[in-house]
Order: sequence, then structure tokens, then C-alpha cells
Amino acid sequence: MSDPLPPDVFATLLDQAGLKLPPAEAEDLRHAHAKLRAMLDLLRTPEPALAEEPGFVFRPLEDRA
Amino acid sequence: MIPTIAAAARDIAAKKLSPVELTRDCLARVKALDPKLHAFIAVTEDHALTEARAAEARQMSGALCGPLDGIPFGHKDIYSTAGLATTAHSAQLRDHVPARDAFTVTKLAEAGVVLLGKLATHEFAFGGPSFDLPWPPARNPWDTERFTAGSSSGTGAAVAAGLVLGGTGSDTGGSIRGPAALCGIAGIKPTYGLCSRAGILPLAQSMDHAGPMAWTAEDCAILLQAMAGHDPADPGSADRPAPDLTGALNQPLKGRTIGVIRHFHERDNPVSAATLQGIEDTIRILRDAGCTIRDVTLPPLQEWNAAGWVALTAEAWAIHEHWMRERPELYGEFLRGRLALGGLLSAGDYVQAQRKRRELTRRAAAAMDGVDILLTAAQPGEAPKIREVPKWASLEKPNFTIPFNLTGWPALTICSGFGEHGLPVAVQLIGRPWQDDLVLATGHAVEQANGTRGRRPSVG
Repeated sequence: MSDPLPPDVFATLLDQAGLKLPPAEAEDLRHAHAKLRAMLDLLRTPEPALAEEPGFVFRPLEDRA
Repeated sequence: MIPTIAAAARDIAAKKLSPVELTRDCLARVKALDPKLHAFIAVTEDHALTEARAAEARQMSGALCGPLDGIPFGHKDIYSTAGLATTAHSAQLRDHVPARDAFTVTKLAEAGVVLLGKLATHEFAFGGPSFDLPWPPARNPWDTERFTAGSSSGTGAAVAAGLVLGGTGSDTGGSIRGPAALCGIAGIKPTYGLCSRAGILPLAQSMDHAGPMAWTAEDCAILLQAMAGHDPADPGSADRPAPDLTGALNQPLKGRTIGVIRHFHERDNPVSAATLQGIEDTIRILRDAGCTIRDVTLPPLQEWNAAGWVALTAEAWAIHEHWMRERPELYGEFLRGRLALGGLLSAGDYVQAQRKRRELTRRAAAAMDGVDILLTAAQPGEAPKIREVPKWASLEKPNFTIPFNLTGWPALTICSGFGEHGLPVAVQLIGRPWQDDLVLATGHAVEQANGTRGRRPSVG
């Protein structure tokens, strides 16, 4: 499992998202975020090949029928 | 005696049961039990009696709409109901009164259901169990100190206690199948695209499914038959005819192959002894019915959970980001935290989740080659104490249901027995896309043999 981000780094992340949370909730979220980061590692393991099919394929509307 | 939908429909058709009396019985149970269960956000008694009288008039004139005519029913409070508040169990929408019904609300009304009211949900189908909202969380009828699971918590409690005979749910990571499991009822997440989500408050559109919950798989088939159908207003709705779900309920299972995803419930997230026993009993019933049983290996549950959680929270954030920035105090703490997590993801994270989703689905489809139905747990065990449910439970242990929100395949939960505390345990049956009929037929066959449907909770 990943370690929680340092509080100042995490505060920057919250700012970037435009989130203002009560301090106790922000601290709780910092620890939950470490668990989420472990999931993100799992998504990138093994590292996908450069040209691997992306998550989305755009289809023009007329193709959808 | 609380009838199933199927039994009530037969008696109503035979003029042995009055829709008005049936509705009055349910309303009496609502008055007696809902102060302990908190399954309802709003009870529409006058409206229900008016609808029941109309159903009775159709009964007497031989003009019943079908098997749902006169059946007492409830909608999860994220389903839009014209002229009736649709709150998502949240202060954000406390006074929100939609102008139009959801597509599925209209379809069920046309089938004749009698709407008794709106049912509790985890806040916006993602936030519970929360004690800081305008309404309390629903309680489990088998033990009111225990959790219903969510997010279709009110529907699970109301159906199990016989306050309604059926209700709607929604399922983005297990929100139909989880409450069905812990409340001892049946609930199906249909194939993605079978039921329109138009008019249902969204959580994560690429994973949201609408579906029914009821006492039995047979009742779910009757309800899903009425809910299914193409709706151009939902871009995810499939333009194909609704299958014959009720007509296929008694199809023979002999020769079918059941794939047991043993590693899900034995290794990836080990289940209780009673849950394991329920799975083994179900396997025995299906083997006795002539099915072939074999183990199937899918990618680990942890990988599914990672892709599912990241995609779900990212999409939920996109829906709620404005309110999260402008008026976060109107959310409960649990939902505020879970949505905030989605706000910390990057665009790359979301794309990787969808890429992983596609890869997992491809591997699961390959593993299902030659298999008709997959079988695993729906929950790890009996319902936990409601006050002991952790805010971040889904980050700590992977759940059994989210894989099939990612694949979009039909998945049904049915009761498979009872645990050491006397509460229900469940199994999950999963089928190939558009084989909802076979999933329901399999569940129906198991329920008829496992002896669980004769036992209702006694609300203390």
C-alpha cells in the first residue's frame, strides 16, 4: 500500500480540485487517497504498451444504430 | 401471509384478491414497521388507494393490464416521479419535484403498479450508511441494528418486510445485488442497455444500471419484463426488442454449464462459512438439475475493484463537481468524502481505468467460453452492524458485484440460506449479455429447491 502524501502536497491537490473540506475530513481523505493510489498502481501494472487500444473508441453518431 | 407478486397476480386475475385490500395490508405494515425500518422517504397513501381502486375497477371489468396491475410498489428515490419529490436522500435535492416521470416509472405505471411511495437510498446512490442526512438510513428487517447494504437500501428493507411486493433499484457497483443479499430477497442488475436510465439521477453513466428487486427471481422477471425496452432518451439503451423473461422462467437447465468463480470468494475476498455453504448448496441443486459444474478463473477481484472504483468515482465527480465546490456542506460526510476522492484523479487515471475495464472484460469473456452461468458470492457474509460500516470499506476489500458493472453482463442475487445470526446469505448468478432470461430461470430453479422463500423477517 502507498504511504499517504505529505499534508502540504495533499493540500495542493485539494486546492487544484477546488475542494474546501473540514480539516478532520481532509486528513481522513489523505489516508483514503493512499489506498486509491494503490489501485491506480494496479491499473498501470503491467505497464500498457504505447500503442495499446485506449479505453475509448469514438464512433460517429450515424454508426451507432 | 405476504404474497409474492406472482401469487398476488394470480389471485387478482381470479378475483380472489382485492387490489384495494392488498394495498391496505401493505399500508398497515408500513405504518406499523416503517418507524423502525426507515425504508420510506415519503408514503403516498391517498395516491396509492386511488390507484388501487382504479386497478380494482379494471379487475371487475376484466380489463387488467397484466400481472402487475394492482401490485403495491415503491421507487428508489432517485427515480424521477412527476409531481412527487425525488430527493436522492440528500439535502441537495430536498425540494426537488420533477416535471416528468423516469421512463421506467412510466412503464411500470402503465403496467398497473400501485405506488406506495419513495424509498430510502444511500445519498445519490453512493453515500451511505449516513446519519447526517435529512432522513435516517434504512434498517435491515432481519435485525434493525444491522446494515441493509446499499445503495438501494429502502427497497431491500421494504420488500423483505412486505411493505411493498416489489420495487426499483439501481446498480453501479452492486447497489441492487448488495441490499438484495443482505435483506434476503432477489435483485437483478440486467444487461447494460436493457433498461433505460432516463429520468434516474445518475451516479456513473458508463456503469449505471436500472433494475427490479422483489422477494423471488420469478417476481423480478415479471418486473423486469415491464421495465425493459428501448428508449432513445438514454444513449446506453439498446435498440432491440425486450426478451421474453417470464415465458422462459421454467426452461430446463439440463445440459447447462455452471462456472464457479471459486477464487473470488475463497481467495480474493474469503466469505463466511454460511455463505460458502449457500454456494455449495446452490451448486448441488444445479448439479441435481442436470447442470455440469466446473471452476472458472477470472482476473483477480482486486483488479476489477481498482478499475471499477476509479471509473465510478471519476464519473461521479464529473456529475457533482459543481456542487462539491459551491455547496459541499449539503452533502453528508460519507458522500462528500467519496466524491472528493474522484476529484483527485487525473484524466490519465480515468483512461487507464477504462482501458483496464476493456482488458478485464475481454479476459472474462474468454474464460466464459463454454459456460452458461457464472456463480460466486454477492456479499462476504451476513449483514454487519450498521454503526460499524467503515466509510472506506470499498477501498479495503474488493466487492463481488462490481466486475459485472464493468462487463455489463446480467447478474442476479438470490437468498441461499441463513447464517449464525439468523440473517440471510446469498449467491450471485451471472450470465452472458442478453441472457437475462437464463439467469432468472436459474435463480428461479434454485429458489424452488433451497427452501429459503418460506421464511420472512420478524421485525423486532
